[in-house]
Amino acid sequence: MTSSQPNVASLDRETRLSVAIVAVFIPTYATILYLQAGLLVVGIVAGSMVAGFAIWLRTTLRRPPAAAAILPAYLLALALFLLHVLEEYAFDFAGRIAAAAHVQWTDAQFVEVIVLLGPAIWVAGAVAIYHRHPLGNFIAWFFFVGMIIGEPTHMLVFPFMEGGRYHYFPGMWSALAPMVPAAYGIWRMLADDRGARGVVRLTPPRAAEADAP
Amino acid sequence: MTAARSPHSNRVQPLLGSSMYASRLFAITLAVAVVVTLGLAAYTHGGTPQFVTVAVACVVGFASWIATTYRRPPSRPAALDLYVATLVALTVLYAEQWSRGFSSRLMQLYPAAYSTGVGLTDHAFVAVFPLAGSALLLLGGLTYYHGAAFGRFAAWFTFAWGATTALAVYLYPLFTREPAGLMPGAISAPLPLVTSLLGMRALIRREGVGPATYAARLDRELDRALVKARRVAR
Repeated sequence: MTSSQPNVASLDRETRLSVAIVAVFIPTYATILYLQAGLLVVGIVAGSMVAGFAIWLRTTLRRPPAAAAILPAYLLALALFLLHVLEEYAFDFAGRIAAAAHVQWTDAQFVEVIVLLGPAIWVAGAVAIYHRHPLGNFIAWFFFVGMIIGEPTHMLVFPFMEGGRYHYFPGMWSALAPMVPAAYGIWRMLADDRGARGVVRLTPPRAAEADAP
Repeated sequence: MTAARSPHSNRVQPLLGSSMYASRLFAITLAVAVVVTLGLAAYTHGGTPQFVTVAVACVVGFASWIATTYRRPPSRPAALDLYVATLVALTVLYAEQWSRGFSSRLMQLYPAAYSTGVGLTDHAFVAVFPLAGSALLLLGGLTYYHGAAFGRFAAWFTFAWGATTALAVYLYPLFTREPAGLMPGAISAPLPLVTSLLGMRALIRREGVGPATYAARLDRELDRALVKARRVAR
């Protein structure tokens, strides 16, 4: 086992509880989404969650990055994501996906899960990021990874699912915008993690903890 | 060193500031543009009841900002937690309002206030409030986090909007001729109301405290009143 792999037994209670909450939340949210939107949408969203969960466990689980490193990128990405969802909503994203993937996904279900529940959790996550809570750090990973994995599908996958000539799909024009701060946020979190590990390698653990901001 | 570069100094923020984001002139110009645009948008598309709500929030937010935190030097945002909590509480309120047809109900209550082409449908409500509105408030939260002069207006406006839109749920039925009952949103409205009032208190007591602000005077008067009240009680 490398030093980057978490030793769950040595984690504090708050972090262990956060890991447990996330481990329960992922299948719950994925099940709700699967029942509504089918395999395609749940593959993107739950895939982002699982990828974010795995990266979180391997990198910043023990030492969430400082708010200054990721909160500005997180808030900007979230605002741009809401504007992106606005484009999807205005041009009937749910109906087009439902027709292309042969599932029943109504406008009301889209509003419940994508417009209200998801953003409410992500907005609340900003407080946890601000206070460097482990749960907030997972939410940041999930959101950033979700933007990188999910948003390009508006250009690379969805238009081809409907067949015919390459054409506009709801959400296409604003899909890349949230990816920019998300990519920056991921880079900052990884850089912060690399920096922290460098400090830990060079100094005894107690001294490294005392140096942490 | 300028006031903008020394976050913990007690100096009054200069009008032009050391940068555009620290400039009070830039902040007040942007705030006026935001207030006027929101007011016009609410009047032309939202109908009179929505316009009144938006106008009250704009006036309360803008006036409170000028009276308290406008001249304050930049520092750590004291009410960021409550800012985010208000956004979440507003999302809960919007969810209840959307699920129970708030916009349609409002148009039924005040038919005379909605001429042809004016008024938000239930579909447009989702686009305007939980999506576009929340996106703008998040951008405001970003400026508030950075300690920009405009960010403190964003904080005041968000709390004013949270309180006003929550109170409006209970006030709309009072001005109709026929009994209207509870409006959609009546169950969850206390959430944004409480977080907004707590946020306003945090801004007045923890951010507006400076020698040149009305908030300091208000705070001192409040303390004196409390001391007198204790003496009388004894």
